[in-house]
Amino acid sequence: MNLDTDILEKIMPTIKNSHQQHSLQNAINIGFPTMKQEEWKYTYYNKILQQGFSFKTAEHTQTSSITKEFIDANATSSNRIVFINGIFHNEFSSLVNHPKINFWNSNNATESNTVEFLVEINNALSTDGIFLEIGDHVIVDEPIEIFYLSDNNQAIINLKNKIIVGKNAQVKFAEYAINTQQAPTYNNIVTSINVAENANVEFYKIQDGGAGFYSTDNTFVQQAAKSVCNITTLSLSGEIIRNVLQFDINGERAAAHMNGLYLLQQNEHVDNRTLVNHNVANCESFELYKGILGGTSTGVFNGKIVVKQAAQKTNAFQSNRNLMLSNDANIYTKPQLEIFADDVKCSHGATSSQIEDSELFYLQARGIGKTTARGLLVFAFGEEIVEMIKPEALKIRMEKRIAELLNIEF
Amino acid sequence: MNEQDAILDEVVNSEYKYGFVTNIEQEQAPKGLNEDIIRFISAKKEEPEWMLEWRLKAYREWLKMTEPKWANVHYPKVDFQDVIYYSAPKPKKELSSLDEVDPELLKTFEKLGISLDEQKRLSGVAVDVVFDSVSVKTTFQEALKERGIIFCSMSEAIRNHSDLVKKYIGTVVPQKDNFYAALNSAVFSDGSFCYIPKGVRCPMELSTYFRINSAGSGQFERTLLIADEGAYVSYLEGCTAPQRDENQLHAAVVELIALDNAEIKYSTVQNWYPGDKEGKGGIYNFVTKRGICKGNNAKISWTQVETGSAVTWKYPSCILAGDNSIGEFYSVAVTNHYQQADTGTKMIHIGKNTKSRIVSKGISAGKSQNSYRGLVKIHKKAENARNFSQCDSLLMGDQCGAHTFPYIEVSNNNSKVEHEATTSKIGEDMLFYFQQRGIDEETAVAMIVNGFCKEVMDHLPMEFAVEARKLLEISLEGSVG
Amino acid sequence: MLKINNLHVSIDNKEILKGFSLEVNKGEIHAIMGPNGTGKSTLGNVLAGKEGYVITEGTIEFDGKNLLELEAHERAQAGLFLAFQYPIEIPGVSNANFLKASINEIRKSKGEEPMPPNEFLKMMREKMELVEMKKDFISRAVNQGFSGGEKKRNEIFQMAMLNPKLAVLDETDSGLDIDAMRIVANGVNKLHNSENAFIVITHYQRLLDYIIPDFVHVMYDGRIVKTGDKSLALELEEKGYEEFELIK
Repeated sequence: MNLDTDILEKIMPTIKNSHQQHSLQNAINIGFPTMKQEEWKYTYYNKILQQGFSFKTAEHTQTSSITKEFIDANATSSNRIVFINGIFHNEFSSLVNHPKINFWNSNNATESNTVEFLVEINNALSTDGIFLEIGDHVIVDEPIEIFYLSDNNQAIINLKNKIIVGKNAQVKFAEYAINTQQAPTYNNIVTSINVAENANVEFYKIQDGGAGFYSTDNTFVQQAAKSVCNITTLSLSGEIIRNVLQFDINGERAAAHMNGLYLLQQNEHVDNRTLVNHNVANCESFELYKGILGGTSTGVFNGKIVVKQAAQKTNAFQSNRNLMLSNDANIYTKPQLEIFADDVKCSHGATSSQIEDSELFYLQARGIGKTTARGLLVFAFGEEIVEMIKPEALKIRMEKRIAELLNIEF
Repeated sequence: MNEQDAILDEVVNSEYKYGFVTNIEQEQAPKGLNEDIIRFISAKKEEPEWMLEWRLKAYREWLKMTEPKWANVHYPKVDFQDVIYYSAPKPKKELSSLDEVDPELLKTFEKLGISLDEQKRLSGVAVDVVFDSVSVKTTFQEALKERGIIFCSMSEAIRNHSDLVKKYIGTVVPQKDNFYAALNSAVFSDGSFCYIPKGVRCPMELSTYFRINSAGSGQFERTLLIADEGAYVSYLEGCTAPQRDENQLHAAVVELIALDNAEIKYSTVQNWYPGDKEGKGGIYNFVTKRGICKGNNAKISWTQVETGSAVTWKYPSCILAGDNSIGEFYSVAVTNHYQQADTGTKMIHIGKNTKSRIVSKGISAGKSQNSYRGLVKIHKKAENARNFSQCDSLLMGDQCGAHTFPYIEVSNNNSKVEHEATTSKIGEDMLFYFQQRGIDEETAVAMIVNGFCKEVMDHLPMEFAVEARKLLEISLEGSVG
Repeated sequence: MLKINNLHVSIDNKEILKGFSLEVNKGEIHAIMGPNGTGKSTLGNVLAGKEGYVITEGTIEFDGKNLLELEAHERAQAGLFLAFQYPIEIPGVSNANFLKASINEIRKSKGEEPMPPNEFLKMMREKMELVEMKKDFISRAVNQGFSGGEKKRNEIFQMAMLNPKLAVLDETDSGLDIDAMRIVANGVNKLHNSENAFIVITHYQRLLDYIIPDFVHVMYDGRIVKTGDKSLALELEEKGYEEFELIK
């Protein structure tokens, strides 16, 4: 056993729930992620720990300076679920009143036996999280916005969410991670989403924590027949962000869509891993991740599509495109296909390039200054993802924010 | 059973054509591996002291290493003490002409389709034949010597061109590069050596045929090819082995060195025994092939047609160190029955304006697993580097698998990397189109497969292309073609 | 030459052809017109022997043989040609190789020797002129990267090379501009003689300005509902298919 896991051994006595003890023991057995592991080849997890975050459960007594006004200013919907420093805040939250929508704040501790260190840590240490049921046939018009706010929190924020969307139901989510102070904060969030037959789910993850923001996110989606699930991940600012997104498509004629945009500056680091398991026939998955890399930043993309033998007539498309703005940026991309069925149409692609001189010249020839022209082209590169955001207010907000980050004006 | 199944079934029942054993008296080392065996091999080869030391150093490194597990292949653990590391046809003596070659051996070559005499007379291909562990005969030595080209067996090179071997061996694939390379460095028994002097264009294709013959023996050949400034060479290798129930180990190392303005074209048609239709027997093909474009404007091009072996683990790679250097990899990998292949390439861009191109075509049939694994790495200093990769997989039958693991690592902003991959099967609509033009399904499948591989086949030298096409047909079907 | 009698065909348990009958003699050109989804393309595919269609009733006789007993390639070898509505792209297989295989397989089926290469090339050049194909066409992969018009011209070119007894043109005119249509029609007219026959399946009357049919059949809901001469096509152009709604 290496020295690192000693800190986990020490907190064992503070864990009351036996399932959670079991999870902690699993985490200890798995050990901390290292770059020797294929899954962590390009991301140095220790760098997060070096910020001095502590492994412990959230203290419900602590106070924060975050106000309702701040939340209002950042919200686009009246459906809100607010967590501050890992604790659910009922007074800031509101949800449409419907007999078939059930919400609890719950850690929902269950026995877990994954091989994911971070999932086990989450299971062991989370106290709060969303447990949300959207009943059959329920259509939620306004997006449900989830806020992960933090101001000066030294403990790792572990939140565990479970979302169950019933048959024929339709719902949209927008998740914001915002760090209001510059002090380091680290979110370790696990979300599982069950999408029943013919249901339609859109989920937007907006990671904009800025300096001192660290995030590891694991999202697991289970899809039943004819369902559609669309997850868009926008990583706009933060020190180290790692997203694991896994789809299990278990019913025929289901469609999974994954879109992502990572906008990296300075020495920011974003690691996106996606896995789509096509377990049954006649489904499709579509994946487009785009990266804009400046400064000395590092982007990692690892997309994997697995088509099981039963999954005939699968249509899977995956693409990762990277725009390198700086000569000191790094991109590591690995689009993977694992195909065990023969009657399938699968393709993937990956590119890395800079702005084409010809495009730049074209804009210049129309009288647009070089800096503006460059800005417009970079923005346009990212816009392909942003324009797929369906809620109009959110889309406009994201466009503005990206323009701001890219330092361009409209 | 529909027609396509019927064809696949026929495929499944097609026999390995090269699975005969030649009855030749062998001189063998005892099974197992230790320093004494290495001393025995080195002594048999009458090697200089430095070579023995080099081998022993590799062996000591190997002892500290473990077998790689990351490839997408599964096979029972190899017992490295149950392998014969040296096996040579007896009597071993220098042969001055083909007449002195054992007639049994000549018959073998006839069966393989390489008649040394024929080759000599007609095609102008210089052939070196490695039978089990030793080089049997190299043709055309004299003609090559006139131009200053050295083309001989590795053992001979170690004895007669010691300085050249010493200067380059292990510079591209170091002894401790990986588990199998270390093993090879310790026990390699022969292989081919080639040196093309400055400004010389080798006037003929150089060719080596490798054959494993005796039971229980492994083959560990080592090839070293140096193209000096402005030189050009096209080199071909072919491999076969007899049909046996047991698995046999083949762990070769190939090193290519291209200096300023030099060009090396290296083509392989690999047809080691793949095992029977139940997956019994077959060669474990664990090979390290790597070339370095050491000089500016150098070019290395790998072309491979891989149809054999039970398990293949092989990544012919290019280190593009010189400015403006070019690396290419064209590959067709066919797997059938229970074959497993994990193959691909690494393109390491270090020099400025370096370019690489990867075209990989994988065909899986039966219950086989076929993986492409590749790395394109653009170092920060590799300004304006370019890479284009195309990896296509064709699946025949619903019991097989096709996998793609491309790693792309880019560390500057003025380079351009593009990777594309597709997976498909032979569509019913396409087959119908052929049939509507009077072409039966079997012929249609053969034509479609050949069309799928065309871009790679076009890069094989003419003499090899015909053979490679035949091999594709034999590997995939009974009478397709 | 071709006798289709009371043909019933279904696909995925849905009946598409519902008692289709047609007789075609040597030297004749038949046009089959009808709205979308009426079974026109199904007819072409069934004649050519595409898998997936279930023939529940009826017979097809071709040149005295029971066509339904032949496999797709045997039908082609017997002289039945289908010009596809959507010709498939075949990567890596050149037009020359494809046609060489096709011609020689057909010859083989008749017990003939393969065509000598020089004769083949000569014929290819001749027929290419017929459909105004560019020279590089020979070495290009079949239909790959071809425009819609080029693909259709290639179908006519293949037909010219194979010289079938009966050619079925499945909406060969759809998506063609007027120049391409002229080229296609010209090809058909030059190939037409007293020994062969054509079935031209089309949606529009305009192709029939160039290829003059002996018979025009209106197909509706899986069978022929009206037969006439060229004037019927003009009539349809004017009035549409409304009157046949009532028949149904």
